[in-house]
Amino acid sequence: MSKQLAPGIQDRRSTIMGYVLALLFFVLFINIINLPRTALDQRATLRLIHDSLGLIVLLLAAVRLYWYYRDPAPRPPQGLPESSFAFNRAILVFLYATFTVTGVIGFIYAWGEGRDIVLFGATLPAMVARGEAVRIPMGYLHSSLGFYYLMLLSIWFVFGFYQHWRYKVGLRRLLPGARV
Amino acid sequence: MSVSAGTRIFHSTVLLAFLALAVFFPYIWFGVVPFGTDDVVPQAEIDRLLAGKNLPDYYAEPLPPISAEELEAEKVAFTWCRFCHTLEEGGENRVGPNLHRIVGKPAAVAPHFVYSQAFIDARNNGLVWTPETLAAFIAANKAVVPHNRMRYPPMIGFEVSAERDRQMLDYLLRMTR
Repeated sequence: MSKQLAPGIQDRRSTIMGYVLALLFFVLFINIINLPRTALDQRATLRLIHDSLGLIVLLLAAVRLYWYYRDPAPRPPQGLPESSFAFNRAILVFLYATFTVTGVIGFIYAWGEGRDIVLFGATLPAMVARGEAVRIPMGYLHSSLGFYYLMLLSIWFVFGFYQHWRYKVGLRRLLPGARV
Repeated sequence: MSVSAGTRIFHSTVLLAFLALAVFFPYIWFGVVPFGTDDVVPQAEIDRLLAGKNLPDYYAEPLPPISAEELEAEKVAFTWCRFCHTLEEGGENRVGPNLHRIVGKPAAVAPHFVYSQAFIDARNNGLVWTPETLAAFIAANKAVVPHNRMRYPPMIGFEVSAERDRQMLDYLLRMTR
């Protein structure tokens, strides 16, 4: 990451990726908070959606992490200290890494529960045997990481508002499509 | 960017500290723990806890029949409960214990479930699940077993009513036999 890009708007590819991930995360969030209030015989449908969208998020987040390490780092907006800007980027890296890890743990949890993972009509072969020793800790961890997303997003916006108040760098950069 | 390694380590440490905090949230929010247990309350202990109670077999007599609409209403009333509890014989413990044939049993005897100390104390103090104690527990669980981990009502704004409680109890009696 020795090269640096100018601050400003991201390229179309990264912008689309940012909005797609944000949208999928929102849909997954609505999906999971609706699970307990949905009739038992309809929960399988919600889980199917959850598993399929979760896989897409996992893959896209992994690609996004790859871009992060492959592409040159952008310069901070004018007036924003580099250390403060670096924290923005650290939050994003943690967020994308958590998306990836949560997806993997989610699949292990489902297999530990003895549940088939059906993705767009195809059943994935179970790579982990059903068992309480897998199901309970993986379910717990999957849930923990769900709370961690909300924390990271809260930190992202609170810190972004603080940076705008302190350095007058604007709020547009908190949304996808800007170079943080 | 020319950010020092120390700054990067500081940023990572802050974010990892939040991760450490997040690990406790399912316990704080749902009362769930990340492990099971091999513990099973022996039948002799269950018999001792029930000795002298002279309880009927609540599952021996069939329940009065209800219409399909009433059963559906009970099922809807029980929807949230099914996120944490299984009712079927041999069903897994989830956030809460399996409830198969719970009526007529001492509290906190589902095999392999990690109960709170509050529930263990309630069991040792003689709490036995009857339709009456279950009704009281559903209506005000923290009054019946103070400091227990069950999250009910499950969310802010959840509509609790005596009719809903009755439907939940009736559904529990019907579906755990």
